[in-house]
Amino acid sequence: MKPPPFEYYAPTTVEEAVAHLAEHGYDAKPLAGGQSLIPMMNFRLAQPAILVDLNNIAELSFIRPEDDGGLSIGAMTRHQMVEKDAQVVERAPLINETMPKIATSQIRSRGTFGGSLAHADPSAELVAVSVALDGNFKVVGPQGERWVPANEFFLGLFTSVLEPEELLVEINLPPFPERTGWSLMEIARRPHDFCLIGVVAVLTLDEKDQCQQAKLVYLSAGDGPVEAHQAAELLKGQALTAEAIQAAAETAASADIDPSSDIHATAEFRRHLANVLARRALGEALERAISNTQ
Amino acid sequence: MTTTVINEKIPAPVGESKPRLENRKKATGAAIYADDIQFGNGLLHARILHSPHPHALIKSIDVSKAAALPGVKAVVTGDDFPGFIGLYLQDRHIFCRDRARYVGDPIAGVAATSEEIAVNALELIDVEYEVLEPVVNPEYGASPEAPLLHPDLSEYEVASFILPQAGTNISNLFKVRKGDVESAWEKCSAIVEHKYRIPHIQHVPIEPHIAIAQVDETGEITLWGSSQSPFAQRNLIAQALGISQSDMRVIAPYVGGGFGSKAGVSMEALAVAIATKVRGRPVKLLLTREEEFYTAFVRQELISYFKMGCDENGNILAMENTFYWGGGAYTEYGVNVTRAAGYSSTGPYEVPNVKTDSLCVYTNHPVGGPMRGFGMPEMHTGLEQCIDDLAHKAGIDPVEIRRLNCVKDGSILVTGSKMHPTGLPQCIEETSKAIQWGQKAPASAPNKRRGKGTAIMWKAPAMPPNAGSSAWVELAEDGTVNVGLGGQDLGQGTFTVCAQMAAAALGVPYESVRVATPVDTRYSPYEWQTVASRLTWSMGNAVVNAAKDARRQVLELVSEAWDEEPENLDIRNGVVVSYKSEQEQPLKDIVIYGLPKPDDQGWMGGPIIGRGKFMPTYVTGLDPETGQGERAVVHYTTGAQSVELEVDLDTGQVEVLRGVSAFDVGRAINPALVEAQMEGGFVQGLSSALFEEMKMVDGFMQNPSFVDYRIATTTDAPSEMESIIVEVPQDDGPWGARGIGEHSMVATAAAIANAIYDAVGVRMDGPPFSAEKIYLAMLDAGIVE
Repeated sequence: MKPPPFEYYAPTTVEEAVAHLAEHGYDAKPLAGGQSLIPMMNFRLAQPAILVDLNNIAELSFIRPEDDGGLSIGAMTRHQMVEKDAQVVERAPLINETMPKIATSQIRSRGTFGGSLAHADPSAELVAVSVALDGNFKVVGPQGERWVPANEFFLGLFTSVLEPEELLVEINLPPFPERTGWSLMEIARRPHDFCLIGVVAVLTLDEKDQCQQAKLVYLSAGDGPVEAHQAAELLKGQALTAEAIQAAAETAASADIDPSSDIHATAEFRRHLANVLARRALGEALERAISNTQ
Repeated sequence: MTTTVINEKIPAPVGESKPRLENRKKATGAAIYADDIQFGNGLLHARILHSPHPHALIKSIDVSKAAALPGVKAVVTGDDFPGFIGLYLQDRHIFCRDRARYVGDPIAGVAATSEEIAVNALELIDVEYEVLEPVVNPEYGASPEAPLLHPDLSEYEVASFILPQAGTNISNLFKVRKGDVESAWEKCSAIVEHKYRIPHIQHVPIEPHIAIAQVDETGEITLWGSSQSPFAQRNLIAQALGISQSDMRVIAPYVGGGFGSKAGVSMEALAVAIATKVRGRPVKLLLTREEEFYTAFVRQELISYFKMGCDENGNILAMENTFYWGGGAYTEYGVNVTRAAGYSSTGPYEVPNVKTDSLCVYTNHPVGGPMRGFGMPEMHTGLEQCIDDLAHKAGIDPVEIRRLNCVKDGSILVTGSKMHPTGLPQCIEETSKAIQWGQKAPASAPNKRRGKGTAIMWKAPAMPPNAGSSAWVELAEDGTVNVGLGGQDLGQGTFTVCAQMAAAALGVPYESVRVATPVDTRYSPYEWQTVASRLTWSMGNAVVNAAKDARRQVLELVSEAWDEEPENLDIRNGVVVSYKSEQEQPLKDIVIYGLPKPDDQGWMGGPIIGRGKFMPTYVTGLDPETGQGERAVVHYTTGAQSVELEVDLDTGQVEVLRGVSAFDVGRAINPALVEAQMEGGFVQGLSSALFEEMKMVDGFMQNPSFVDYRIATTTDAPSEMESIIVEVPQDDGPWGARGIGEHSMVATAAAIANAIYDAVGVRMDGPPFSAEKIYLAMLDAGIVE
């Protein structure tokens, strides 16, 4: 099928784009890489009357190292550009590891960093990763800009704090702490599919090699990114023994998440996989954290 | 190893891996597919209103509002088309008349000036249904309690070898009664019994079904479509409409994948029927992907029961098999799947005592039809797991029990026929060697287990006993050759192979041969259908005969002109040569204008056109009570596949590491294409083993999209695949060739299941072997906690 008719604008500045969105409100939809929106329109799951195409806004495509050691990424930066960027390798190794796991290379050549986040798909890797990395999202609307922390940005299934007249323009990642390890693990029916369940782990060790901070964020485990707070709390201040990791993984899978059943897997099996993945991801993150302290 | 010496020398380019004829066209986008054809502003777009109920009586249909919508040119229903349609059993109308039998059954059709108007018109059609209890399980469907889906079954027209059971939902019952199964069990030292369930899957060709039909003012019909069977479509649609086959023309451009789904007739008749109501205007019907999933053919589902036993030495003494095929709402084509499974029901084994009941059962599911393998993958998936279990129970190596019992030259088959020379034993040796059978490699991680599995197969072309092929060969002014044929290239490379055979038989370079495409029933020679892996063998014979006929005409002419014996003449590389006088003359000087008579006294000869045909004449009927007869089929292609894989104990995930295939193709006309078939079939088999299932709930498909219906992609193919060609020639194949197109996916799912068992010791009741199923089976078996 093809989409129903729509009006189309191709602004060249953020200001212009926001003006279009402000004028049309809920009738308008910004078009980034179009890797989700266009199929949804073709299936007529989305029927925006107005498309505001962001692809001509050059100022939204950048990767910028910040003075504090962090990194900022423009919302219209293609996945592929992030994937191949040396600054990302150095300053955001988890992002670097995430990129090849996003869909397929064809999709990454067109899809954008900000588009994936604004779409707020709970099975999207970047959604969970941005929460695990304490990202900050710069949002611009008719009243100016505001910054939203990643863990407050996502409200539910395909829903974020973005108002219809607002645009996500930039993602800021704070400096990657020392003595920190990371892992992203997913289980999908086939490589590159939407995963049945996935988890992002970020572990920071204190000087005694005990857990200073743990982050465990699941994808495909609820209506948005699901942080396993109870599991993280269990680990804090602890020596990261196999038993401690196992206990945290079990807590995460049984208490922190509430996955649902669908035709691809039952909720019970997803919980089981959540446990296995948490154990593996925490183990890998720990190994990396230790090697990052040497 | 069994070998047959053939005396005929193998002439080039037979046996050479020539590039496919259409490569350049397809790579550059020059190849024309049905949807590429331009019909101008007169084109109308058709859409179909489908039944929303799996089983319902149609009380009334009101199309008046739809017909009144501006832009709508025709609205048709079953009332307009009373005729029946079907290949082996005429159990289907073009549109439903009194009853809808599956979700997707066509209720009405609309032609409009745009697709959008046609879609809107569908919403204006009011249909009143009386919803009935659906039959969604073939085993229940075969029972006396089940509601009847086709109360008029006994009145349908049917091929002589299909046996519908009046007053039931069983549209074919194929029975084998060979030897004495009951007394054989007592002699068995090991007996195993299993039940397996194989779900519906779909072919998912990348190009969905498409048909464009136009009826002119005199009633002559032209149909353009993505088709495996232009001649069968001509015949069946003409019959259904009550017109002459000669007034029905089918043009078949390139096909973007078929796998059986574009054989026979499915949605094509809908486009033609609608077009009859808007004479002069072409009407296009293109299925959406969702429609492709459940309104075109699907693969039948199967509930199978196997019981088999062997003596202490591993000799299989008896098999008792019952197959409940879920044929779906109409089984006009599918009945023959169940017959094929019946006459092949022992698998490729010599078994003295056999009892088989293969039942084709109507269900309120989408229409079961032909799919790559034609029943054999479904049957072998259970049977070959059972053979493994029998081996384990008898304490014999799974490969050894296959070596011991597999059919060999002269074996007495399940139908009482005698096996022709076959390379099956050699295929078993080759795959075992390649997979290093018996050597267990360590797993790649502590949480993984590694396993190997093997399975063997056989398959005969399933077709009427007298399915025919024909061909012509003509030459142009420059000596290039045009081959006319009526089979279709679905990507398998049949045009290339036929060009190679024509070149070899005529004596011209491969590069000078063309194939007359697109196939057009008005101009192309007759071909039954592009199915059954029969073209290399059957159409190939016709092409060779046509090329030989052209060659004979050339040599007779030259013999007269040069006054030499034809035996001393030859055509080599496009040049007629005499081994006696050493004269030579290129074909281009001969094949259109003939040759001058001596002393300029006129001319002899003229345009050369060779004709050839092939039709098997030796297939006999089988006894309806015992399934026994002299020769049930034309031949069997046999082969073996082995895999090595790992199972993750924590997650149940399977990774297939290696796949090995060996098939006896008689003669590989084009080895690269044979290997491509083996690889492609392996991956499709893997896909059916690990991913594919039409998830049906109460007659409704839950996953009709590529998001939810997974097929294997290149990332899922094992990184190591080996394809081994075995050649034990077929007595009546061109240079000994027989088919390979379907066979390569028949044993794959069973080999994977056997390897999973080898790795972790569990079996599932049927594919797809998802991580969750495997994990739960490991939990049940206490392999994991």
